[in-house]
Amino acid sequence: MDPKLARALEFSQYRETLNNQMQALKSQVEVKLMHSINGGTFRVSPELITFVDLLIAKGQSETVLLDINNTPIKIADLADFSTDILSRYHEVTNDYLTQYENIRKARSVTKIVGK
Amino acid sequence: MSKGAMMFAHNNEEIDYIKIACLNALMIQANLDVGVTLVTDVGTLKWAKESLGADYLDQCFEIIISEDPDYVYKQNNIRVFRDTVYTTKHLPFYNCDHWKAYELSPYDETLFIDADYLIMSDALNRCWGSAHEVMINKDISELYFGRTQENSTVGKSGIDTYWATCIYFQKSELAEHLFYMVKYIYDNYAYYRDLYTTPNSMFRNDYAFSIAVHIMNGFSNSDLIKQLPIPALYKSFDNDDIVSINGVNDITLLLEKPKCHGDYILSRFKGMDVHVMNKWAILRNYDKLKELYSE
Repeated sequence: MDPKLARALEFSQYRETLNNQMQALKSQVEVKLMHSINGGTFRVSPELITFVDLLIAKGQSETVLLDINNTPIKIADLADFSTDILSRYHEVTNDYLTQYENIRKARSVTKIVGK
Repeated sequence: MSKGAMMFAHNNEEIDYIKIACLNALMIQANLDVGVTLVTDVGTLKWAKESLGADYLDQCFEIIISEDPDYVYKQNNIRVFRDTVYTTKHLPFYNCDHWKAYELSPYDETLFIDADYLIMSDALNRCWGSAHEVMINKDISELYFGRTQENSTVGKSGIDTYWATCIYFQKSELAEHLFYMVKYIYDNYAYYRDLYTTPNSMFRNDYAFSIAVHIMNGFSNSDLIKQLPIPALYKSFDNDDIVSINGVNDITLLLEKPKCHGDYILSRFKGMDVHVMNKWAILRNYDKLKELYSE
C-alpha cells in the first residue's frame, strides 16, 4: 500500500477512536449529572443552578420543580438543594476537564484508551 | 419499603447465564448495595450448584426461586447468538417468563435487570423512592456512538419501543396490570405480533412490554410510563468483544465498525452500566470480574 495512504488510514482510525472516546466520556458525564431527590430526578445544568439561585434571591425557601419526566417535585429546602447541585456540577465538570485533556493530548489509539 | 434487584437466568447447552447472573449480582451488591433475587429453573440451578457451589450462590443471591420451565418453548425457541462476527450459533433462548417478575419479586421496589446488563455505577440507586410506580427506558444508545441505533418504534406500527433490559417497579396496581398485560401478550403473541407488525416472529420482551405499555396508555403513545433516571441504556452488540477489565467499573471493548465486519475500534468505559450482548465475552472475563467484585 502507498505509505502515505497507509498513514492517512491509520490517522483515520485514531480519529474514529478519539471521537468515540470523547462521546463515551460525555455520556459518563451525563450519567453523573443526574441528581435525585424526593422521588424526582434532575439533570444538573447551569440553567437549573441559576434558576434555583434566582428563587433563593427572591426570598423563597421552598418550591416545586419539574424533573426530567416533567413530574412536579417539591423541594422543601432550596438552599440545601442549591448547595448539592452546585457541588455536583463542580465535581463532575472538573473531572470531565481532567479526563477530556488526557484524551485530547493522546496521540495514539492505545493512549486514548489509557493503555 | 424493601428494595432489591431481580434477574432471570436460564442456561442453554452453551451459555452459562447463571454464571453471568452471579457476576452481575456481585456488581450490583458493590455498586447499589442491595440484595439480589434470582429466578431460574431446576436444571440450571442443579448445574450451578455443581459447577459454582452452593456457598457461592448464597454469596451472590439472597433469594433463589427455581421454577419448572416450559420445556417445549425452551427447545423450540431457537435464536442466533454471536461471539463476534466470527462465531454464530443457533441455541435455545428462554425468555418467556419475564412477566412473572411482578408476582415473584419479594421487594416493594424492584430493579428487574437482564443478567447481561452489567451494573458498573450507582446510577440506578436514584430509582429508590421514585414518584413513579414503573419506569422503563425508551432512550437507548450504542456504545459505538456513530453506529445506527435500533428502531425507536416497533415495526411499522409506530408505537414507542420500551427496552425491557432494565425495569423499575413498585408493588402497585399499575405494575401489576402492566406485567399481567405482558403475560396476555405472550399467551397471544401470534395475534399481537401481526397486529403491531413486529420485525420478526420470535417473542421479544422489548416488544411485549412496548405493546403492553401502548395498551395501558389507552392505545396511544403517551408518557404514562416514565424514563429511568439515567440518560440512556448503553448497549454493545454481540459482534463486539471485551478486550480487558481494567479495574472496578472500568472496561475496554472492541466495537465493530458499522458495515465493516471484523474491523473494530477500541473504547473504554468507566462508571457506566453497559448491556453486553456477547455472552461469551463476559464469560471469558469471568475470573477477573469475580476477583474484582468479590473483594
